[in-house]
Amino acid sequence: MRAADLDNLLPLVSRPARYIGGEWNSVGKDQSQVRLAVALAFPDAYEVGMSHLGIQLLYQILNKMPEVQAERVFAPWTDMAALLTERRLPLTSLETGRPLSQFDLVGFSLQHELNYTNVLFVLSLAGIPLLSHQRAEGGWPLVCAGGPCTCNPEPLADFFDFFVLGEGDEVVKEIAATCLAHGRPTDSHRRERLLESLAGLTGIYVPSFYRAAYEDGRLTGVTATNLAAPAVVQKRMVRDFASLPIEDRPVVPFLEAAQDRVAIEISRGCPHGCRFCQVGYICRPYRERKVEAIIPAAVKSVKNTGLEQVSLLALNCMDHSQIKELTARLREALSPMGVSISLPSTRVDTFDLEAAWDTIEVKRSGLTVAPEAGSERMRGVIHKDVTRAQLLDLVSQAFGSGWHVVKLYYMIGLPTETEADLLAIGEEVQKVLTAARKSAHPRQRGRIRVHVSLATLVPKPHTAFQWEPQLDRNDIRDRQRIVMKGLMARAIHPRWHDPEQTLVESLLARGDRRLCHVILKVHQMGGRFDGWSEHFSWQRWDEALTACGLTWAEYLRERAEDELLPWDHLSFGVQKSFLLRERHRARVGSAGVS
Amino acid sequence: MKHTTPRTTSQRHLVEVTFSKLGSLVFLSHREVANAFLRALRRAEWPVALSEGFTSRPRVAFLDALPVGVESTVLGALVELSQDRRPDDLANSLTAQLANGMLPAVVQRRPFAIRKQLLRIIWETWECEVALGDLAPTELSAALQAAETGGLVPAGLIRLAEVSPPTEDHAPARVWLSVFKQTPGLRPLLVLRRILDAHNWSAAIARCRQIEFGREVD
Repeated sequence: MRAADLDNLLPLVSRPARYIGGEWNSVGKDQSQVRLAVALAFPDAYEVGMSHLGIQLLYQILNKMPEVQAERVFAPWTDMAALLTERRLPLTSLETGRPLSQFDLVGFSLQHELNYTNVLFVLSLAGIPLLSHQRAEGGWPLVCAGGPCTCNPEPLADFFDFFVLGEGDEVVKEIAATCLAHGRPTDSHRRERLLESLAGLTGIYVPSFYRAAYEDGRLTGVTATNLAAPAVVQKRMVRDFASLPIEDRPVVPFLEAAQDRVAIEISRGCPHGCRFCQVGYICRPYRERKVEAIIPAAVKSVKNTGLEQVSLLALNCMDHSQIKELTARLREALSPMGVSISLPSTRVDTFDLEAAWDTIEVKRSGLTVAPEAGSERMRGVIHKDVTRAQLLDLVSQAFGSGWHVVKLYYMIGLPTETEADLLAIGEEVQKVLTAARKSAHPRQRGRIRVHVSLATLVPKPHTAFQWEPQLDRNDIRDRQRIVMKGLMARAIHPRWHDPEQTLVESLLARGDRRLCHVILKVHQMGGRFDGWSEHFSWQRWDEALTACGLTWAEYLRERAEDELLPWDHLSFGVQKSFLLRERHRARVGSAGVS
Repeated sequence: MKHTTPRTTSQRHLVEVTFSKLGSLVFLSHREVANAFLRALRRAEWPVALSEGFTSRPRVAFLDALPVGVESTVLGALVELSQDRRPDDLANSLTAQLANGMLPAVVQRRPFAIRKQLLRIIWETWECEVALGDLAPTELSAALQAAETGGLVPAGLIRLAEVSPPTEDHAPARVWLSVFKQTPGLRPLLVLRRILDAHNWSAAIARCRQIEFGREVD
């Protein structure tokens, strides 16, 4: 889009700063030196995308390559999209205003299933053919995706040229090098040669090189049809995570992003084995960075960005073997600059008040813990080996030390769940509130808040619960009602997920290639920003599924243990037999294997 | 180096920074511009004094909240420092850290005693580009001059009103309008729009830029 076109549109849209670019640390290069243009596309609004660490990392890694220019593209909000369509203007990147169709590679970050329709929304606004076979001729860019949703990318198989399974830090450079070596493919033959080369890289899955077979509506086989394609695609993993450089020059958005802070990844993977947790399984093994690497990177990132908060990222920060030393030294380095430190959600059993206290000396923030289930029995089923006594002890200590807000994450719809397990959530939250009131300073008691987030289990691929059935709509609502009854108090602030969005998430998370038609249909019916409740339409999904001759029951049902699952040809390093054993252990509530 | 707030007024060092908000930055809100400026201060490693509350904040006050869609060459902020520094050094370090469209930075030392007066703007001048269409520049000029006497705007409000005719065909005319800020929301743009509407002129205001302001202490 030319600058003049953009200037004409910006006064007409909400939050125009989403589209202006020019943020601090955004990269502009001499275009005569650029041989490979990569668009890093995020299928959600700018504020959401700019909070995502992955896109920031890939942006910096790629832009360090002299011949590569990485630029950012976000899904334009509906008002901007309407104007682009009306004036026949293509979607362009923030850095150079280059139309998306003129890039060599368009890489999407798939963070959430409800963003799938936005992938098609972005491609269609860019004028890029949606189906990969339609792009074979004509020099269209290669369209790829990475992120946690590539655990089962089958519902998107028809739209993408390739997927990146696992961690992108290293493979992204190999992809760029391969594309540079081949040049931009102008015909289908050259495009296929390039895809064959890419398929040879560990972690690359080219869906068009595989054929899925169905019998009586059930998947019976996924076979490789190209010699370059491995029978099972292995995920990519950074083995020496401790030596992986910490990127310290993230783009600083003008707009307030959802997570407006320097994010430093202190570890990857999780040493615990919660049976519902997809990211816990797919990011194995647990790896961490040394304090000596984290501190200078955090300080440098603050100096390079000017941001006022540093967030330590990990699945559970308290698992870091040097967490006390890390928080103490970070505080020492950052508090003179007025920079605060934050820790994301932590496990109750590993929570270390001393370390956490170090993080709040500069700025007090809420305490976030995830007991996940209300009863000890249920926590045994999901292998969340924490006890109520530990939780109450933690809350007492924290509130006695000055905290006044706690956020608790719970889930419903877990296997073997009974009404007693649901009632136990309310009971536990009330006990937390009582413990908080008892231990808080009398002057703080009026400020006590207990936020409760109630999610519904979506049995995700590559977890011990991947075979479990998904609760239906009415069942979810009934169970939510039971829990809510126990959450009646002024200081308790419950939030719950929309059951219909949960069902669509489950459909797409465990679906197969036949869902490509459904997603396309929903897109054609105007589906976009499905993760935003104001744009989500259950009816649209329901109609599209029916129109494609498919049923909810088929996708939300319990899967047989000997059944071929749509993602069985993709390996994230955890064997199916192990997951099955864990499932059986869950049934008897026994401890799992980390 | 700890930038704690000095206890006494004599230890406080106040500087006034003037910078621009131009180009696509007009689409930023005041809060977004303020955030971008504060981050630039941190990158420039200014010894900004911090507040002493639970949540430490840099002691920076902004002169005026400019509306979205308006440029400025005179955006101002008062920054309290924990250590004295040469204004030129401060300006150089900050200019290198400001985003495109926020350049250049001018830094002046100010006495702490008049901090409150420095924050009080009493009049401001905006330069607006107006696509006149069929309207003659002289007509607009006359309307601006007569606005107060005709009762379109309160008497004593307009400080300066000039119209420069377009230099080329279809180019916008430039209007310089300076008004006393009797209320915070009363801006030259609003006055100009009121005058155009009162005459039923369809002339479009294409671009506005704040170029000057006045305070009692200036």
